[in-house]
Amino acid sequence: MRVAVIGAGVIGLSTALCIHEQYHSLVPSLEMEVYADRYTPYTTSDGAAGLWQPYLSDHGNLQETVWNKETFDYLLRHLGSPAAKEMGLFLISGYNLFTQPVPDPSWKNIVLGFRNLTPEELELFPGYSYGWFNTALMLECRSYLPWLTKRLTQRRVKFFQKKVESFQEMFARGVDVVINCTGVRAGELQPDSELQPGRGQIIKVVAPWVKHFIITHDVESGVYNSPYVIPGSGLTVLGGIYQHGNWNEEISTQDHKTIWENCCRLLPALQKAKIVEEWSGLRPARPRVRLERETIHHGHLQAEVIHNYGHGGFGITIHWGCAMAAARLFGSILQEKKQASPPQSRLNCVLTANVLSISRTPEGQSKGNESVCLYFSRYRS
Amino acid sequence: MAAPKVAVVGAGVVGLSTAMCIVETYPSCSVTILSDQFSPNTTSDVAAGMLIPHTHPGTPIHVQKQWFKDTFAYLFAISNSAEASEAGIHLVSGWQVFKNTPKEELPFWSDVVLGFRPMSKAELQKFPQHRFGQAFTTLKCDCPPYLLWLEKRLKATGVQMYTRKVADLWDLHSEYNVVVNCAGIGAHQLVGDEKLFPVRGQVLRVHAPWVKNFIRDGDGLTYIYPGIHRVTLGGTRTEGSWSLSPDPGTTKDIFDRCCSLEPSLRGAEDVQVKVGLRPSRQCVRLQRELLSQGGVKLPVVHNYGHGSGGFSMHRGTAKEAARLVGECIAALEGSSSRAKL
Repeated sequence: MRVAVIGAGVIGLSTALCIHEQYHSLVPSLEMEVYADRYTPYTTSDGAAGLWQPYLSDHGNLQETVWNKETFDYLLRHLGSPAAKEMGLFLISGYNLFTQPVPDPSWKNIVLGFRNLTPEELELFPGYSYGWFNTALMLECRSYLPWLTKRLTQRRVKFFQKKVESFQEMFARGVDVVINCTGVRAGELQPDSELQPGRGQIIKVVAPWVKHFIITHDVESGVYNSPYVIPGSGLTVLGGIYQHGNWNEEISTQDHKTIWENCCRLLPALQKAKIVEEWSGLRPARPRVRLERETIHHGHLQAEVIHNYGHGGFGITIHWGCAMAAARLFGSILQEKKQASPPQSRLNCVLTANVLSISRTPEGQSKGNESVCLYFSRYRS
Repeated sequence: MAAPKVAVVGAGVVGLSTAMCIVETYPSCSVTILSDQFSPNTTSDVAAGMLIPHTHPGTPIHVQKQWFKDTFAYLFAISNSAEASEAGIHLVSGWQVFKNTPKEELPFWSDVVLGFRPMSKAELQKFPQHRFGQAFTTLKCDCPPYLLWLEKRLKATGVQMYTRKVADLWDLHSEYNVVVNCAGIGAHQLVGDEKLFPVRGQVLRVHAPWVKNFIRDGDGLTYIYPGIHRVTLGGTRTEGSWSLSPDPGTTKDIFDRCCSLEPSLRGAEDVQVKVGLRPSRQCVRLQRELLSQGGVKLPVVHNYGHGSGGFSMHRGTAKEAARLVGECIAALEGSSSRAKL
């Protein structure tokens, strides 16, 4: 059973790990490969500060709220473990600021200690008259992605630096299931008019005295178009840019100015902070996450794709819930394959294998009887 | 009196802030700071500088609260300004956790710090050995930055600073009109105050930049305070010990206790060990005294004995000390004009 994960950002690597953890012992023939044109530190995930926080409103998308909660709880359980530091995982408290009262968010009971800001606290932030305080988590991808890669490598998952041009390309190689975690460029594999880039830009500074995240909100500008300051374990991230439909990954001097001026107004001490890095990236924005199976026919064959993309600016926040949902879809694929192929006699399998091996490319050579039976079942349906 | 000459003995947080208040309130004074130690070698440099008051049994609570409020307000304004990073002042949030529910659920300072509230059950799950907790946001004064920032501002106003071990306050009577005694633990020897005793504190300073929240055990013995560059892990409260040498067994004990509160500290690097002697007393000695020998008088203002509460009370007591200095100057001017008559 060959599984190809396309995409090596937080979604691709975590989905790969989740599936491998759950099914490797059940499917001994499971061979997993990761294909991506970009790996850490060059993925979209690497540019994110890493703060766990969903958007203010889930737009009635309760499924996503559940996935967010599953991710938070999963990460919280790992906080006390020795792996936490290597994962880039730690607790962080901070502020969400508004210019007017707003309803409580869907995630108020997921995070720790959620409460409204007191008048004294609001004095810290002139111009803002309402806000929240809570403790959440940071998961820094420049640590988390290498950690996931290490876990996967230990499990003998193979990595290929390659831009996959089509699903067919994977099936032609003998891949049975493709996990499509291609993020903002998923449209290149299959057009998706709902997927748009949400361009962001950030400045990384040395400001180790900042211990809280500060996210401001401007109902008019829209999400992430209002300044935010997020302290990491090394540098502090300044941001506040969200440009829907803008594919440009170049640094914009105008955006730099906007970020810098707005963040310094928010935290005057930042004026003294040294700028170390700048980055711009494209959030894979979609009205809802695309997390579903698709059966793709090619010739007489059919193969499965599990789509897992379109996580916008909350990929880290939702990743593990989505990975588990993708793993459940994978499980349903396995289930169907088992039902489609009742136990075969060895002789039949061997004969079938001979037939198959003539038409198969070297990469697609089967190993072991079980995988032969699965290939056989594919032919039959 | 033309320019009253005031000597401040001591250059820790109390000495420097007292000098600052005198300069601010009585700009005509000429203020000089004399100390055998300056930052980074003062007791203040060892302290984490967290604004979490310690309750002095000998001082009325409303007075301690006012001192804390004054200090908090002063530092809050700095933390909110462009000077925050240079001054080493920053906000930090966290938790105070108790193994047993404390007698008083609301400490006197709960409405001065920000956002004080009991911890939720979910928050307490992180501390399985503790049954109760309080969450709040307070300020931290990192040293040396805060002391160096005070020194810089003092020098800008013309204040002179000299390294000098003052053996006896009377030695200063010919050069200065008023002496302010901010000698901290040094007052034990300087003025022979037997009521002043050291409470030895050993701390570790570690590199663990992912620790963003403070954690303090309500017994005051174990704490994790994230500073700008390092996290301070503590600690000890050994009454009567004058030893400034780090004890390796204590180092391991502090580290283990802190790791049980925050397991990720196992990954902390570059452990530095420091020892400081808290200048402890039933109450802060904040009062005037008139020294006199052979008809010559030397007004003294004492401002020492802050124990664990130096940072929490420094600005409030400094303001009061400055006010007392003003009284001394007024008294001197009064007697000198009487002398003219």
